[in-house]
Amino acid sequence: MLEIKNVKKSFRDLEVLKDVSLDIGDGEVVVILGPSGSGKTTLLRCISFLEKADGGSLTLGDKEVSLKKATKKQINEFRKNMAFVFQNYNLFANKTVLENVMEGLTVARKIPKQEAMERALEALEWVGVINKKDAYPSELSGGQQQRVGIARAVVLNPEVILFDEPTSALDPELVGEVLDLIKKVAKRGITMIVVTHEISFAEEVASRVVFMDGGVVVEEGTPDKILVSPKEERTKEFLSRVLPKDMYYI
Amino acid sequence: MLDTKTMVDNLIDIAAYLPVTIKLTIGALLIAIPFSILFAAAEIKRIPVITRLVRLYLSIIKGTPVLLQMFMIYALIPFWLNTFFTSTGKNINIYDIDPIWYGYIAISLSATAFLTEAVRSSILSVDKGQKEAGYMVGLSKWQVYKEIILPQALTVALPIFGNVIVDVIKSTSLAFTMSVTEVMGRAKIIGGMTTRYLEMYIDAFFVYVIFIFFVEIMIKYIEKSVTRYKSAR
Repeated sequence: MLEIKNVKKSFRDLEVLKDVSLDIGDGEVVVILGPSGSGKTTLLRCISFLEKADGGSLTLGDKEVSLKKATKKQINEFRKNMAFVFQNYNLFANKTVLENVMEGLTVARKIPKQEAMERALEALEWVGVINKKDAYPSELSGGQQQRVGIARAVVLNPEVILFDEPTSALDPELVGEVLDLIKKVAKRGITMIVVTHEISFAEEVASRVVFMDGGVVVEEGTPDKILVSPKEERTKEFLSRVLPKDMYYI
Repeated sequence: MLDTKTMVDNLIDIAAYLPVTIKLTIGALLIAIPFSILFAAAEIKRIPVITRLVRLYLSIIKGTPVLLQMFMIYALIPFWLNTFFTSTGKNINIYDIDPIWYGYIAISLSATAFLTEAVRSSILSVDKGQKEAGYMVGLSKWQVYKEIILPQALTVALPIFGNVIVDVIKSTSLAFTMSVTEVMGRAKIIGGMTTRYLEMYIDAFFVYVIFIFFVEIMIKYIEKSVTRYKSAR
Protein backbone atom coordinates (compact mmCIF):
# COMPACT_ATOMS: atom_id res chain seq x y z
CA MET A 1 0.00 0.00 0.00
CA LEU A 2 3.01 2.26 0.44
CA GLU A 3 5.26 2.19 -2.54
CA ILE A 4 8.46 4.18 -2.63
CA LYS A 5 9.98 4.22 -6.11
CA ASN A 6 13.40 5.33 -7.32
CA VAL A 7 14.04 8.07 -4.79
CA LYS A 8 17.11 10.15 -5.59
CA LYS A 9 18.51 13.00 -3.58
CA SER A 10 21.75 14.95 -3.63
CA PHE A 11 22.94 17.75 -1.43
CA ARG A 12 25.17 19.74 -3.76
CA ASP A 13 27.74 17.21 -4.95
CA LEU A 14 26.94 14.61 -2.34
CA GLU A 15 24.63 11.89 -3.58
CA VAL A 16 22.76 10.85 -0.46
CA LEU A 17 20.11 8.66 -2.05
CA LYS A 18 20.88 6.76 -5.22
CA ASP A 19 17.68 5.27 -6.49
CA VAL A 20 15.99 3.79 -3.43
CA SER A 21 12.80 1.78 -3.77
CA LEU A 22 10.73 0.08 -1.09
CA ASP A 23 7.41 -1.68 -1.18
CA ILE A 24 5.60 -1.72 2.11
CA GLY A 25 2.46 -3.67 2.86
CA ASP A 26 -0.42 -2.70 5.14
CA GLY A 27 0.46 -2.94 8.80
CA GLU A 28 4.07 -3.76 8.11
CA VAL A 29 6.76 -2.54 10.49
CA VAL A 30 9.83 -1.77 8.45
CA VAL A 31 13.00 -1.02 10.34
CA ILE A 32 15.75 0.76 8.42
CA LEU A 33 19.25 0.15 9.70
CA GLY A 34 22.54 1.49 8.46
CA PRO A 35 25.59 3.50 9.38
CA SER A 36 25.32 7.28 9.73
CA GLY A 37 25.34 8.99 6.40
CA SER A 38 23.70 6.04 4.69
CA GLY A 39 20.65 8.12 3.76
CA LYS A 40 18.07 6.57 6.13
CA THR A 41 16.86 9.83 7.59
CA THR A 42 16.97 11.58 4.22
CA LEU A 43 14.73 8.85 2.83
CA LEU A 44 12.12 9.49 5.55
CA ARG A 45 12.39 13.22 5.00
CA CYS A 46 11.95 12.85 1.26
CA ILE A 47 8.85 10.72 1.46
CA SER A 48 7.30 13.15 3.95
CA PHE A 49 8.22 16.08 1.67
CA LEU A 50 10.32 17.74 4.36
CA GLU A 51 13.11 17.45 1.83
CA LYS A 52 12.48 17.80 -1.88
CA ALA A 53 13.79 14.73 -3.68
CA ASP A 54 15.51 15.03 -7.04
CA GLY A 55 13.44 12.19 -8.38
CA GLY A 56 11.18 9.33 -7.46
CA SER A 57 7.58 8.80 -6.57
CA LEU A 58 5.39 7.73 -3.73
CA THR A 59 2.21 5.71 -3.89
CA LEU A 60 -0.10 5.58 -0.90
CA GLY A 61 -3.28 3.61 -1.35
CA ASP A 62 -4.35 4.35 -4.91
CA LYS A 63 -2.73 7.77 -5.14
CA GLU A 64 0.64 8.38 -6.68
CA VAL A 65 2.72 11.51 -6.44
CA SER A 66 6.07 12.67 -7.77
CA LEU A 67 8.43 13.43 -4.92
CA LYS A 68 10.06 16.12 -7.00
CA LYS A 69 7.07 17.85 -8.54
CA ALA A 70 4.34 17.43 -5.92
CA THR A 71 2.12 20.48 -5.58
CA LYS A 72 1.27 21.98 -2.20
CA LYS A 73 -2.19 20.48 -2.47
CA GLN A 74 -0.84 17.00 -3.17
CA ILE A 75 1.66 17.30 -0.34
CA ASN A 76 -1.09 18.22 2.10
CA GLU A 77 -3.23 15.39 0.84
CA PHE A 78 -0.45 12.85 1.40
CA ARG A 79 0.57 14.30 4.75
CA LYS A 80 -2.99 13.80 6.00
CA ASN A 81 -2.31 10.08 5.92
CA MET A 82 1.12 10.31 7.47
CA ALA A 83 2.60 11.21 10.80
CA PHE A 84 6.18 11.80 11.80
CA VAL A 85 7.97 11.17 15.08
CA PHE A 86 11.14 13.23 15.30
CA GLN A 87 14.49 12.45 16.85
CA ASN A 88 14.34 15.73 18.80
CA TYR A 89 10.63 15.36 19.56
CA ASN A 90 9.91 18.85 18.13
CA LEU A 91 6.96 19.42 20.39
CA PHE A 92 5.48 22.88 19.90
CA ALA A 93 7.30 24.82 22.61
CA ASN A 94 4.56 27.42 22.99
CA LYS A 95 1.79 24.90 23.52
CA THR A 96 0.89 22.63 26.39
CA VAL A 97 1.05 18.87 26.05
CA LEU A 98 -2.69 18.67 25.41
CA GLU A 99 -2.58 21.51 22.87
CA ASN A 100 0.32 19.79 21.11
CA VAL A 101 -1.77 16.69 20.57
CA MET A 102 -4.92 18.66 19.64
CA GLU A 103 -3.22 20.99 17.15
CA GLY A 104 -3.37 18.65 14.15
CA LEU A 105 -7.01 17.84 14.87
CA THR A 106 -8.47 21.27 15.50
CA VAL A 107 -6.34 23.54 13.30
CA ALA A 108 -5.40 21.27 10.42
CA ARG A 109 -8.40 18.92 10.26
CA LYS A 110 -11.03 21.31 11.62
CA ILE A 111 -12.39 18.77 14.08
CA PRO A 112 -14.62 20.40 16.75
CA LYS A 113 -12.72 21.28 19.90
CA GLN A 114 -14.67 19.03 22.23
CA GLU A 115 -14.19 15.93 20.10
CA ALA A 116 -10.53 16.81 19.49
CA MET A 117 -9.95 17.16 23.20
CA GLU A 118 -11.52 13.78 23.95
CA ARG A 119 -9.37 12.12 21.33
CA ALA A 120 -6.23 13.90 22.53
CA LEU A 121 -6.87 12.94 26.15
CA GLU A 122 -7.43 9.36 25.11
CA ALA A 123 -4.12 9.36 23.22
CA LEU A 124 -2.28 10.89 26.17
CA GLU A 125 -3.77 8.27 28.47
CA TRP A 126 -2.63 5.60 26.05
CA VAL A 127 0.99 6.81 25.97
CA GLY A 128 0.98 7.35 29.72
CA VAL A 129 1.52 11.08 30.12
CA ILE A 130 -2.03 12.18 30.89
CA ASN A 131 -0.83 13.60 34.22
CA LYS A 132 1.31 16.10 32.29
CA LYS A 133 -1.41 17.34 29.97
CA ASP A 134 -1.19 20.96 31.11
CA ALA A 135 2.60 21.11 31.24
CA TYR A 136 4.75 22.79 28.62
CA PRO A 137 7.31 20.64 26.75
CA SER A 138 10.21 22.34 28.55
CA GLU A 139 8.87 20.89 31.80
CA LEU A 140 9.04 17.29 30.57
CA SER A 141 11.83 14.75 30.45
CA GLY A 142 13.01 13.52 27.07
CA GLY A 143 11.10 10.28 27.46
CA GLN A 144 7.90 12.11 28.31
CA GLN A 145 8.39 14.47 25.38
CA GLN A 146 8.79 11.59 22.98
CA ARG A 147 5.65 9.95 24.39
CA VAL A 148 3.78 13.14 23.62
CA GLY A 149 5.38 13.14 20.17
CA ILE A 150 4.01 9.66 19.64
CA ALA A 151 0.59 10.65 20.96
CA ARG A 152 0.58 13.60 18.57
CA ALA A 153 1.24 11.20 15.70
CA VAL A 154 -1.16 8.43 16.74
CA VAL A 155 -4.08 10.75 17.45
CA LEU A 156 -4.22 11.69 13.77
CA ASN A 157 -5.08 8.11 12.85
CA PRO A 158 -2.54 8.07 10.04
CA GLU A 159 -2.03 5.17 7.68
CA VAL A 160 1.72 5.42 8.11
CA ILE A 161 3.90 6.68 10.93
CA LEU A 162 7.50 7.55 10.17
CA PHE A 163 9.89 7.32 13.13
CA ASP A 164 13.20 9.11 12.66
CA GLU A 165 15.63 7.74 15.25
CA PRO A 166 13.01 8.18 17.96
CA THR A 167 15.27 7.14 20.82
CA SER A 168 18.62 8.57 19.72
CA ALA A 169 18.30 11.77 21.74
CA LEU A 170 17.14 10.03 24.90
CA ASP A 171 19.08 9.28 28.03
CA PRO A 172 19.98 5.58 27.96
CA GLU A 173 17.70 4.70 30.85
CA LEU A 174 14.69 6.15 29.02
CA VAL A 175 15.22 4.32 25.73
CA GLY A 176 13.49 1.16 26.90
CA GLU A 177 10.19 2.76 27.87
CA VAL A 178 9.91 4.64 24.59
CA LEU A 179 10.73 1.51 22.58
CA ASP A 180 8.04 -0.34 24.52
CA LEU A 181 5.59 2.35 23.55
CA ILE A 182 6.59 2.09 19.89
CA LYS A 183 5.99 -1.65 20.08
CA LYS A 184 2.55 -0.85 21.41
CA VAL A 185 1.94 1.34 18.38
CA ALA A 186 3.06 -1.51 16.13
CA LYS A 187 0.48 -3.79 17.74
CA ARG A 188 -2.27 -1.41 16.66
CA GLY A 189 -1.55 -2.44 13.10
CA ILE A 190 -0.43 0.95 11.85
CA THR A 191 2.13 0.78 9.05
CA MET A 192 5.44 2.00 10.37
CA ILE A 193 8.83 2.88 9.01
CA VAL A 194 11.37 3.14 11.80
CA VAL A 195 14.89 4.44 11.36
CA THR A 196 16.84 3.35 14.40
CA HIS A 197 20.11 2.05 15.76
CA GLU A 198 18.35 -0.29 18.18
CA ILE A 199 19.09 -3.69 16.69
CA SER A 200 17.22 -5.57 19.39
CA PHE A 201 14.14 -3.52 18.65
CA ALA A 202 14.44 -4.43 14.99
CA GLU A 203 14.80 -8.06 15.88
CA GLU A 204 11.74 -8.05 18.08
CA VAL A 205 9.30 -5.81 16.25
CA ALA A 206 10.20 -5.54 12.60
CA SER A 207 8.33 -7.48 10.01
CA ARG A 208 11.11 -6.49 7.69
CA VAL A 209 14.59 -5.09 8.12
CA VAL A 210 16.11 -2.90 5.44
CA PHE A 211 19.84 -2.33 5.53
CA MET A 212 21.01 0.83 3.81
CA ASP A 213 24.51 2.02 3.08
CA GLY A 214 25.90 4.68 0.80
CA GLY A 215 22.47 5.78 -0.40
CA VAL A 216 21.24 2.39 -1.58
CA VAL A 217 19.30 -0.50 -0.07
CA VAL A 218 22.00 -3.12 0.33
CA GLU A 219 19.75 -5.90 1.49
CA GLU A 220 16.30 -6.41 2.95
CA GLY A 221 14.34 -9.24 4.47
CA THR A 222 12.97 -10.65 7.69
CA PRO A 223 14.90 -9.80 10.87
CA ASP A 224 16.16 -13.38 10.98
CA LYS A 225 17.52 -13.20 7.51
CA ILE A 226 19.20 -9.83 7.81
CA LEU A 227 20.35 -9.84 11.40
CA VAL A 228 21.32 -13.47 11.77
CA SER A 229 22.45 -14.59 8.35
CA PRO A 230 23.14 -11.55 6.20
CA LYS A 231 24.40 -12.22 2.69
CA GLU A 232 26.09 -8.98 1.85
CA GLU A 233 29.55 -8.16 3.07
CA ARG A 234 28.58 -4.59 4.01
CA THR A 235 25.72 -5.80 6.18
CA LYS A 236 27.96 -8.30 7.95
CA GLU A 237 30.55 -5.64 8.57
CA PHE A 238 27.97 -3.21 9.97
CA LEU A 239 26.43 -5.85 12.23
CA SER A 240 29.78 -6.97 13.52
CA ARG A 241 30.37 -3.42 14.64
CA VAL A 242 27.03 -2.91 16.38
CA LEU A 243 26.25 -6.40 17.67
CA PRO A 244 27.94 -8.41 20.36
CA LYS A 245 29.88 -11.07 18.42
CA ASP A 246 27.97 -14.17 19.56
CA MET A 247 24.70 -12.73 18.30
CA TYR A 248 24.96 -13.29 14.63
CA TYR A 249 27.63 -15.97 14.35
CA ILE A 250 25.05 -18.48 15.44
CA MET B 1 26.07 77.75 41.89
CA LEU B 2 23.08 75.68 40.92
CA ASP B 3 19.92 77.76 40.89
CA THR B 4 17.61 75.18 42.44
CA LYS B 5 14.63 77.52 42.47
CA THR B 6 14.66 77.99 38.68
CA MET B 7 15.27 74.30 38.35
CA VAL B 8 12.24 73.32 40.42
CA ASP B 9 10.03 76.03 38.96
CA ASN B 10 10.60 74.87 35.41
CA LEU B 11 10.51 71.12 35.97
CA ILE B 12 6.78 70.91 35.33
CA ASP B 13 7.06 73.15 32.29
CA ILE B 14 9.61 70.78 30.77
CA ALA B 15 7.74 67.64 31.82
CA ALA B 16 4.67 69.10 30.11
CA TYR B 17 6.39 68.37 26.80
CA LEU B 18 6.59 64.67 27.55
CA PRO B 19 3.42 64.09 25.47
CA VAL B 20 5.32 65.36 22.42
CA THR B 21 8.13 62.91 23.14
CA ILE B 22 5.57 60.12 23.51
CA LYS B 23 3.81 61.20 20.34
CA LEU B 24 7.10 61.12 18.42
CA THR B 25 7.92 57.70 19.81
CA ILE B 26 4.54 56.18 19.02
CA GLY B 27 4.34 57.84 15.61
CA ALA B 28 7.78 56.59 14.63
CA LEU B 29 6.99 53.08 15.88
CA LEU B 30 3.68 53.00 14.03
CA ILE B 31 5.58 53.66 10.82
CA ALA B 32 8.49 51.37 11.72
CA ILE B 33 6.58 48.26 12.82
CA PRO B 34 4.77 47.42 9.56
CA PHE B 35 7.83 48.27 7.48
CA SER B 36 10.14 46.22 9.67
CA ILE B 37 7.84 43.20 9.36
CA LEU B 38 7.80 43.55 5.58
CA PHE B 39 11.56 44.09 5.42
CA ALA B 40 12.25 41.13 7.70
CA ALA B 41 9.98 38.95 5.58
CA ALA B 42 11.84 40.08 2.46
CA GLU B 43 15.16 39.22 4.08
CA ILE B 44 14.01 35.80 5.20
CA LYS B 45 12.34 34.90 1.92
CA ARG B 46 15.32 36.14 -0.12
CA ILE B 47 13.38 37.84 -2.89
CA PRO B 48 16.02 38.66 -5.53
CA VAL B 49 16.08 42.45 -5.93
CA ILE B 50 13.99 43.45 -2.94
CA THR B 51 16.20 41.69 -0.41
CA ARG B 52 19.21 43.52 -1.84
CA LEU B 53 17.43 46.85 -1.48
CA VAL B 54 16.42 46.08 2.09
CA ARG B 55 20.02 45.20 2.98
CA LEU B 56 21.24 48.39 1.32
CA TYR B 57 18.72 50.38 3.35
CA LEU B 58 19.81 48.71 6.57
CA SER B 59 23.50 49.33 6.01
CA ILE B 60 22.95 52.96 5.02
CA ILE B 61 20.73 53.74 7.99
CA LYS B 62 22.86 51.91 10.51
CA GLY B 63 26.04 53.35 9.06
CA THR B 64 25.12 57.02 9.37
CA PRO B 65 24.42 59.22 12.41
CA VAL B 66 20.76 59.70 13.31
CA LEU B 67 21.38 63.42 13.61
CA LEU B 68 22.63 63.58 10.05
CA GLN B 69 19.60 61.60 8.88
CA MET B 70 17.38 64.14 10.61
CA PHE B 71 19.10 67.13 9.02
CA MET B 72 18.80 65.51 5.63
CA ILE B 73 15.12 64.66 6.07
CA TYR B 74 14.44 68.16 7.31
CA ALA B 75 16.20 69.68 4.33
CA LEU B 76 15.26 67.24 1.58
CA ILE B 77 11.58 66.54 2.12
CA PRO B 78 10.43 70.18 2.18
CA PHE B 79 12.54 70.76 -0.93
CA TRP B 80 10.96 67.80 -2.73
CA LEU B 81 7.48 68.72 -1.61
CA ASN B 82 7.99 72.29 -2.72
CA THR B 83 9.19 71.20 -6.15
CA PHE B 84 6.27 68.79 -6.38
CA PHE B 85 3.66 71.36 -5.34
CA THR B 86 5.00 74.06 -7.65
CA SER B 87 5.22 71.72 -10.61
CA THR B 88 1.65 70.50 -10.10
CA GLY B 89 0.46 74.05 -9.58
CA LYS B 90 -0.94 73.41 -6.10
CA ASN B 91 -0.81 76.34 -3.79
CA ILE B 92 0.35 74.73 -0.57
CA ASN B 93 2.81 76.40 1.71
CA ILE B 94 5.20 73.73 2.93
CA TYR B 95 5.94 75.84 6.00
CA ASP B 96 2.41 75.10 7.17
CA ILE B 97 3.33 71.46 7.63
CA ASP B 98 3.84 70.64 11.29
CA PRO B 99 7.55 69.72 11.64
CA ILE B 100 6.55 66.79 13.85
CA TRP B 101 5.85 64.91 10.61
CA TYR B 102 9.49 65.20 9.66
CA GLY B 103 10.24 63.97 13.16
CA TYR B 104 8.11 60.86 12.68
CA ILE B 105 9.80 60.05 9.39
CA ALA B 106 13.35 60.77 10.53
CA ILE B 107 13.08 58.76 13.73
CA SER B 108 11.27 55.88 12.03
CA LEU B 109 14.17 55.43 9.62
CA SER B 110 16.49 54.05 12.27
CA ALA B 111 13.69 52.44 14.27
CA THR B 112 12.75 50.47 11.14
CA ALA B 113 16.34 49.32 10.69
CA PHE B 114 16.67 48.08 14.26
CA LEU B 115 13.22 46.50 14.37
CA THR B 116 13.89 44.69 11.09
CA GLU B 117 16.90 43.06 12.67
CA ALA B 118 14.85 42.17 15.76
CA VAL B 119 12.02 40.63 13.77
CA ARG B 120 14.34 38.76 11.43
CA SER B 121 16.58 37.31 14.11
CA SER B 122 13.68 36.34 16.35
CA ILE B 123 11.92 34.47 13.55
CA LEU B 124 15.14 32.72 12.57
CA SER B 125 15.77 31.81 16.20
CA VAL B 126 12.81 29.43 16.20
CA ASP B 127 14.11 25.91 15.62
CA LYS B 128 13.26 24.62 12.16
CA GLY B 129 12.01 21.41 13.69
CA GLN B 130 9.03 23.39 14.99
CA LYS B 131 8.05 24.26 11.45
CA GLU B 132 8.52 20.68 10.26
CA ALA B 133 6.45 19.29 13.11
CA GLY B 134 3.73 21.77 12.18
CA TYR B 135 3.72 20.65 8.57
CA MET B 136 3.63 17.01 9.61
CA VAL B 137 0.48 17.42 11.71
CA GLY B 138 -1.09 18.94 8.62
CA LEU B 139 -0.79 22.67 9.20
CA SER B 140 -0.46 24.98 6.22
CA LYS B 141 2.44 27.40 5.97
CA TRP B 142 0.31 30.26 7.22
CA GLN B 143 -1.02 28.17 10.13
CA VAL B 144 2.51 27.15 11.06
CA TYR B 145 3.51 30.80 11.26
CA LYS B 146 0.42 31.91 13.11
CA GLU B 147 0.25 29.04 15.60
CA ILE B 148 3.88 28.08 16.15
CA ILE B 149 6.58 30.35 14.75
CA LEU B 150 5.29 33.85 15.44
CA PRO B 151 4.22 33.25 19.07
CA GLN B 152 7.65 31.80 19.79
CA ALA B 153 9.44 34.52 17.86
CA LEU B 154 7.53 37.13 19.81
CA THR B 155 8.93 35.95 23.12
CA VAL B 156 12.43 36.24 21.69
CA ALA B 157 11.71 39.60 20.09
CA LEU B 158 10.08 41.34 23.05
CA PRO B 159 13.24 42.12 25.03
CA ILE B 160 14.83 43.44 21.83
CA PHE B 161 11.68 45.46 21.06
CA GLY B 162 11.99 46.90 24.55
CA ASN B 163 15.51 48.07 23.81
CA VAL B 164 14.45 49.55 20.49
CA ILE B 165 11.60 51.45 22.14
CA VAL B 166 13.99 52.94 24.68
CA ASP B 167 16.40 53.85 21.87
CA VAL B 168 13.58 55.52 19.96
CA ILE B 169 12.57 57.52 23.03
CA LYS B 170 16.12 58.72 23.39
CA SER B 171 16.48 59.59 19.73
CA THR B 172 13.35 61.77 19.90
CA SER B 173 15.51 64.19 21.86
CA LEU B 174 17.22 65.02 18.56
CA ALA B 175 13.94 66.15 17.05
CA PHE B 176 14.43 69.63 18.50
CA THR B 177 17.00 70.14 15.74
CA MET B 178 14.02 69.95 13.39
CA SER B 179 12.23 72.62 15.43
CA VAL B 180 9.98 70.06 17.13
CA THR B 181 9.63 71.15 20.74
CA GLU B 182 9.70 68.10 22.94
CA VAL B 183 11.32 67.59 26.36
CA MET B 184 14.87 68.26 25.21
CA GLY B 185 13.83 71.14 22.98
CA ARG B 186 11.85 72.76 25.76
CA ALA B 187 14.77 72.45 28.17
CA LYS B 188 16.99 74.17 25.65
CA ILE B 189 14.47 76.95 25.03
CA ILE B 190 13.97 77.74 28.72
CA GLY B 191 17.71 77.45 29.18
CA GLY B 192 18.12 80.13 26.57
CA MET B 193 15.52 82.35 28.18
CA THR B 194 16.84 82.06 31.71
CA THR B 195 20.48 81.41 30.80
CA ARG B 196 20.25 78.53 33.29
CA TYR B 197 21.14 75.75 30.87
CA LEU B 198 22.57 73.30 33.38
CA GLU B 199 19.47 73.46 35.59
CA MET B 200 17.21 72.85 32.63
CA TYR B 201 19.33 69.94 31.45
CA ILE B 202 19.08 68.41 34.91
CA ASP B 203 15.31 68.79 34.73
CA ALA B 204 15.24 67.06 31.34
CA PHE B 205 17.52 64.39 32.73
CA PHE B 206 15.03 63.57 35.47
CA VAL B 207 12.09 63.60 33.10
CA TYR B 208 13.80 61.06 30.85
CA VAL B 209 15.07 58.88 33.70
CA ILE B 210 11.64 58.61 35.30
CA PHE B 211 9.78 58.16 32.02
CA ILE B 212 12.12 55.45 30.73
CA PHE B 213 11.99 53.74 34.11
CA PHE B 214 8.21 53.40 33.76
CA VAL B 215 8.47 52.28 30.16
CA GLU B 216 10.89 49.54 31.17
CA ILE B 217 8.58 48.32 33.91
CA MET B 218 5.78 48.18 31.38
CA ILE B 219 7.89 46.22 28.92
CA LYS B 220 8.97 43.75 31.60
CA TYR B 221 5.34 43.24 32.55
CA ILE B 222 4.31 42.54 28.96
CA GLU B 223 7.30 40.24 28.49
CA LYS B 224 6.33 38.23 31.53
CA SER B 225 2.73 37.76 30.49
CA VAL B 226 3.71 36.59 27.01
CA THR B 227 6.61 34.30 27.85
CA ARG B 228 4.99 32.16 30.48
CA TYR B 229 5.96 28.89 28.76
CA LYS B 230 9.68 29.63 28.78
CA SER B 231 9.85 30.52 32.45
CA ALA B 232 8.71 27.02 33.28
CA ARG B 233 11.04 24.77 35.24
